[in-house]
Amino acid sequence: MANLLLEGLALGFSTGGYCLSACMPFLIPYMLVEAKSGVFHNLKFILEFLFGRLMAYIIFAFVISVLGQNFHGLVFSKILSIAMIISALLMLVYAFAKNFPKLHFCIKIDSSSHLSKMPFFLGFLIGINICPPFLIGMVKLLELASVAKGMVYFLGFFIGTAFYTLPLLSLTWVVKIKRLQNIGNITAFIVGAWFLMIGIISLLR
Amino acid sequence: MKKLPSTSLILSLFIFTIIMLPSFFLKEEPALFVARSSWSLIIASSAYLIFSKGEISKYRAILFVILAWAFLFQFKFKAPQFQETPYCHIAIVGTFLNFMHSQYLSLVGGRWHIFGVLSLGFLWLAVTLILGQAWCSWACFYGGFDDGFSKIIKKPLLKFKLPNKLRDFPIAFTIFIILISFTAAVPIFCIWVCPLKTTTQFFDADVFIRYIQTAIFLFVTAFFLVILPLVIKKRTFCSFLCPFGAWQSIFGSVNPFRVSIDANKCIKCKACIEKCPMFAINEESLNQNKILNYCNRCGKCIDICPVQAINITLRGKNIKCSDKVPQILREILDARVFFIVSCLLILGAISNLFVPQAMIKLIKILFGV
Repeated sequence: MANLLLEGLALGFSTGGYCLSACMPFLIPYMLVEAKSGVFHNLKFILEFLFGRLMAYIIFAFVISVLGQNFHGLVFSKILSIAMIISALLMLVYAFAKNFPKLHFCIKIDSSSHLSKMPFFLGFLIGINICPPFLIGMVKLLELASVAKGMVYFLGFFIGTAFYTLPLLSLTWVVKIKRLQNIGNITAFIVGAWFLMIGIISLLR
Repeated sequence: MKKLPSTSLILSLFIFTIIMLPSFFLKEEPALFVARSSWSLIIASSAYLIFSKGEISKYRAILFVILAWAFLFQFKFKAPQFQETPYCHIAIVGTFLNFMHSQYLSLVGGRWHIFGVLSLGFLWLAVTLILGQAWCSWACFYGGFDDGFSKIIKKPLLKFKLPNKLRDFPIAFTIFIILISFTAAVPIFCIWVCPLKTTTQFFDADVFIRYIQTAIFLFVTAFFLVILPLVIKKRTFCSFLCPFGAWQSIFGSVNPFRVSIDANKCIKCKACIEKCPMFAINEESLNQNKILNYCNRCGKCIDICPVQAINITLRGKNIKCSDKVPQILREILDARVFFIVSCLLILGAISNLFVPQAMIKLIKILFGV
């Protein structure tokens, strides 16, 4: 088990940079809008995001380990595309609510507690659909075909990759610029539209 | 601010000499030498008109549009300078690692001078220090397209007021391009947005994706480069989609040249807001006598201001000379002169790489020589 944990950790450390690049398009615009000047406030976002990712890993490790060799690649790729579309829609709704705060629909969304859970949902959805290192880990899971082993392996992977998201805390020192919030809003909108298009394309292919 | 004919002549001769200088040391074909001399003469004549008539934008635009079309002409006809760059002269290869490797090879192989990010990186550093944002209105390879189309119709068919909230769209779009390019490890702007790719090769093998990319290329080209500039008389591609323009709006600030509004002279007629092709002046900024960072120093606002309240300065200040200094020297020691001379020299250096060749090729095509 310790070997598996270390193996997952090694995969996480070696591919974490790539993992971060997959998370950045969602996390950076969100942080530009929501981050405040306190480090702990922003650390909370990142931890929630990481927790969402951890949940995604655990659920997938469980499902894939149970399925083992019965796992069907095509179905999985469709699930990934759908997850990408949902995360894109989430980003679009978020950007829309922030850009047009006076609209009735936006007031409803903005005042609800759903937006506060955004980092968790983003972490969860991105954890299972975009991150390429996750796909590498998945191959190992198919080989292991054991729920306990799979979870340990992915726990190591999660810890390894989690370190790479910490530099995002450096945004704390720039978010004081009000103009950046507006830029973050627009970026969130473009990112949402982009991943919606990519998700639909990959679903149709 | 008109200059004396003698001052204008001295300045234009200076520009002509500097631009032509490399040609005297290169062993060129006579036809190329003649074409280069002719083009340098056109630049020097424009310089004379800019200084003597006191109008910047009109003569700048003529040179700028020629530069852009000559670049496209040469690039599409695969001139020798571009034969090793099938997609475009900046992003030579399609993936990030290949790109890094090719840049490394070009450096260690002593081929760094061939168009690539290393050479363009040095060029960027030089133009940022010399011109700042003015690159986008004086020497950019592509800016002349929407600038040209925005000048065809005299009055805008549609008046468009950009909401303040959307003015930072180009920076947001650039952040998006950078983030997604890192995620996908491919140059996203080149593969999905750049109008120059409308007729060149595709990176993706998937036919379905190629259809979508073609649709986006055509939409961007038709809508942002042609239709919108024609209808609203603004440089819409440069204003909203060009990542380099957004980049330059941030880093160009290190350059000392500024377009400044004299608070004592300005009568708030808002003509500059209406005419600025880059949405770089809005009511909010005008009230503060400021011009936004998106200003490309095209000179349009300077030309149309009825009270000459707008001018080129060195970070808001100009050079002061005592009356004892001869008038010609006083006219030359002016931020505006330094700026225009710098711009025209860079324009000349860049355009001389392909405009003379394009002129020769065009003559050959037209007259079958």
